[in-house]
Amino acid sequence: MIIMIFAAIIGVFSINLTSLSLSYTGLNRAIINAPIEIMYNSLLIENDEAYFNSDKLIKIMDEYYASTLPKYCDSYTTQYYFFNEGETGVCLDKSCLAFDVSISAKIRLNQHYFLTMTYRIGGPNNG
Amino acid sequence: MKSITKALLLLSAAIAPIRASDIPASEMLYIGSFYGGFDGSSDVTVMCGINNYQKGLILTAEYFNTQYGTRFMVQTVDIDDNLDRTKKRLKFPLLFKGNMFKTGLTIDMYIGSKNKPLWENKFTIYPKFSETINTKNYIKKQYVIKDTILTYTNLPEWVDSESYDFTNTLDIISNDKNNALEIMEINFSHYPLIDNLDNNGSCYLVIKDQYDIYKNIDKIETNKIKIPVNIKRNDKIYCFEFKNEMYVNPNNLQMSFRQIDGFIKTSNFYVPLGKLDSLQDSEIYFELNKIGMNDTTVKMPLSFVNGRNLFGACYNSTYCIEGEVKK
Repeated sequence: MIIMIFAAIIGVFSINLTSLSLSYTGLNRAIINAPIEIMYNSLLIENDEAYFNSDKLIKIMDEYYASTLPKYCDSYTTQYYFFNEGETGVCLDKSCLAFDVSISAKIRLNQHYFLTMTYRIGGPNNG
Repeated sequence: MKSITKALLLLSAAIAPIRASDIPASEMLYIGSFYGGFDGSSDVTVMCGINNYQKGLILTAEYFNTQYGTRFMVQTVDIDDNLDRTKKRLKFPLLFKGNMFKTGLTIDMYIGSKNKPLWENKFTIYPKFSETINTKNYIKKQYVIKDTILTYTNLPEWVDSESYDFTNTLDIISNDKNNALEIMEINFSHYPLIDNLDNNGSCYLVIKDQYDIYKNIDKIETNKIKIPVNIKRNDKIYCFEFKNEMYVNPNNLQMSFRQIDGFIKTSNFYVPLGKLDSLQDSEIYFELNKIGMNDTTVKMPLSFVNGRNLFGACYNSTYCIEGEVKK
């Protein structure tokens, strides 16, 4: 009887661990492998230099996260931090060369997930 | 006495038109407007520049069949009647009716008497030698059309041949920034240097569109689109430019020859976004119809070399986005 209870506890624990693992890997996959192509629509090109249009980018990224993350978590929040590399402080313009996006998510068993991605514009004209 | 005076006056008037001092030979030159010879029955117009012309002079043209050396027509023109006063030049239409031999036709023009002309110029014109050149066979080479005597307006010299020089001609075409085809990189040389090499004719950049990439452009041949181009003289070389303004959708770089909502005017030809690779195995060539003095047709096959995408991977794109997990 004790063995059966112990086995049941281990079983439930394993299921939860598997579920947690699936959530973590699902979130990782959705965030790290976010298709970069969708961000091209937010690029502005002026005088041969490309910039992120921050408003448009946030809208695009939020739409993407809204379509993928809820499958793997109960709730999530996103935070964007725009900057230009080599400069201190945030980029307050609407045209910036890089950004960090931090995703905080609440997953099963009251666990938290946190990841920050950095995206920057590369290529010959943007170093 | 009166009759003797009158007779002397008439005599001096008759002599006046052939005084050598009236037309300094050095100020007379041809700037002829005919070129390349002609086939069969044609009208030839010769422009003769005369600065200090004298009324009453007679310009005579005699025609010789060069092959047989026989004279078969004489034409005379009163200079005063034909002077284009605005240009200070005599426009002398030589009306030639007859068959042109390959050996050419010699025209002897003179003012005054044949035996002691005040001025004389003799030249030979040849029939057009229309042929099709495929530059594939002439890359790094010249193509010469001999026996072409010609002048163009304002061309300072007579030339006896026409040649195309593809020594420095690229046989590849690439994409410029924003996926625009770099047609300015393709050029060739031509002798003599004339301005209107394409004769305002029909020259095209032809692209085989087997994958139906250019959805807004009508195919005029099977799976081919034709983009009109001009041949433009750039100092000593000839290069290409697109003839018409076209329209492009800035979101996907689809082109159109007609105004469509959302499209903007452009003088470039763009390859739609993400479709550059399809040009790699496509057939691309310039088709130049009836250019130069001999109405030559030139076909310039090109290979497409993918330069840089506008967006995409950083190794082959003008603009790219890199992402990484922040540590």
